[in-house]
Amino acid sequence: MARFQKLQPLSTLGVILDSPEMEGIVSGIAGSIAANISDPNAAFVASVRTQTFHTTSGRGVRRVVGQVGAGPRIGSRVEAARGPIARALGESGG
Amino acid sequence: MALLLERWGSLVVDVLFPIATGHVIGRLGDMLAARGESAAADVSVWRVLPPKGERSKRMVTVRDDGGPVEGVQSRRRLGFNVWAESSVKAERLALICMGLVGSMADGSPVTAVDSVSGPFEVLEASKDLLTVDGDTLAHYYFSARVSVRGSDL
Repeated sequence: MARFQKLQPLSTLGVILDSPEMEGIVSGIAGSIAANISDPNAAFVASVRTQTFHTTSGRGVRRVVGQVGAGPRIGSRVEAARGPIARALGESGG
Repeated sequence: MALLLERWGSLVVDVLFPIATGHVIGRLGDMLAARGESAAADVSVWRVLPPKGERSKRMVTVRDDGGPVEGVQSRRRLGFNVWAESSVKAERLALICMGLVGSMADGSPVTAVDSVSGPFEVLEASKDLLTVDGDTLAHYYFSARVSVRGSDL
């Protein structure tokens, strides 16, 4: 009689999505997005930071999330006027 | 997945994509005009800010920040700047616009809207504040990724 493998619960995906290896991949992507950001406002470019967070989805899947952002006061004005972060995301395929 | 997309991309070569902002500006203007609430009344939608003489108290601009082509779809990151007479009115208008953009996918040519982010208030330096008929306008911003379908070249 054929034996069917029991489906693993979705939360076990967290072993992969929350792993140090995945964090390395995500921070690499975030780093390349940050490196692609260019703007005439040097203070804005200097304020760009990348971060990774460990979060849990509504279904209980643990995962790593990468974030690229700039200093809030400079960042919001420059992003609204010229969209350098959005363009860097677009260029990276995001 | 990357290999699959690469192969799929290489199969599709003769595709003409529409100007995403043109469609979004037209649809957003129509959808706002069709709403009865006061917060969405008398809104003009543009690609860039119009000259001073043509500005109104409630304006939205739609900017295309680009994005990748995946097969027959182009995924564009759009930035939406929203102005109104007060912070509350501008935020309300931005939220309405965000909802309308999120519901815009109809397949022709917008196939999907995701990564909607915002709105946040843009605190302008005093020299950058917009004034229309004596009112200083409040400014909000949000962004979204809009996918559009191409057609045969």
